[in-house]
Amino acid sequence: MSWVTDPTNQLLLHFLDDAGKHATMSFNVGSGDTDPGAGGPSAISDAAAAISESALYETEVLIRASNTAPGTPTQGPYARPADKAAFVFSANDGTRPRLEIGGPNEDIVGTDSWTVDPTNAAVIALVAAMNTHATTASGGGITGLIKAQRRRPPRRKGQ
Amino acid sequence: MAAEATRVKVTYRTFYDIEFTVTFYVAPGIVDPNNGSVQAIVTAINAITRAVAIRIELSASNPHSVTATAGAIYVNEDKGEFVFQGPAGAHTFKLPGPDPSFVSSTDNETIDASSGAVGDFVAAVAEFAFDANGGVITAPTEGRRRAARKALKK
Repeated sequence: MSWVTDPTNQLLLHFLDDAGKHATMSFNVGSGDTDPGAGGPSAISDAAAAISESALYETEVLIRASNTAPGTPTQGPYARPADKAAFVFSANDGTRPRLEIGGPNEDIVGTDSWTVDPTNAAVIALVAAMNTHATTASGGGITGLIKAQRRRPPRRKGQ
Repeated sequence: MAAEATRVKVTYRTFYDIEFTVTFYVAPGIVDPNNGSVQAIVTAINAITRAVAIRIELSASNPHSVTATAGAIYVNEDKGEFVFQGPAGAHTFKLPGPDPSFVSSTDNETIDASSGAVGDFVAAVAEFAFDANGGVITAPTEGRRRAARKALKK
């Protein structure tokens, strides 16, 4: 894999007015502007907040990249986005973060074609990567896997 | 550095050319798509799915503890519009809920962008913002307030 970043990043300013309605401003900033609290993003957000009566409640910077060598997707019995392997983790902040992966490889599910096999090497590696490198939305540490299973797509009703 | 955990969204493409996304979070301050932690998780996900990763987006966010002006004259549907010029055409930025003290009392529309706080805003945008291809944009000398839409009578 080789990830090439876009020539610009996107700066989003999120406003909330006195009536409770949201609005967003969007800018393209330099690829080196990655910190919403410094440099160009900070200068633009501070200046915008000074001339608006709405509350600038969040400044967000989006950094995007494309994979120049993604490879070729393969076919399989569950190779559809609607088929998902749903993982539920435990965390030290009491939350239960979920990770849903579409088009799962059939090798990771057990003989019931439903339960994800926790002894599968790829599953073990995913859990280890999440425990070591991922966090919860509030920055808490992920501590382990609670359960994982395949979710079937919704069935069409008979016509 | 961003105060919140960085949200990572990876877009995958399946054999049937349909895309889906996988979202997870990493530590604040991680803003490089090629960061080791990000790539370790992406590599592990790649081994789980038959799809391939094609795009990645990282979101670094700072919340602010502020409140809107009570009884504001202009709300978010009211916009202060500023038209900047770039190499590929015009770019309009729409500021929600403009402060009425910067709007002309003569016509309730014109906003002087040549000086003061409004001048600082357009100058900051001209200095730090670009068009999508990285081209320089030029600040205007005035803006215009566009009123909120009124509901149509039945």
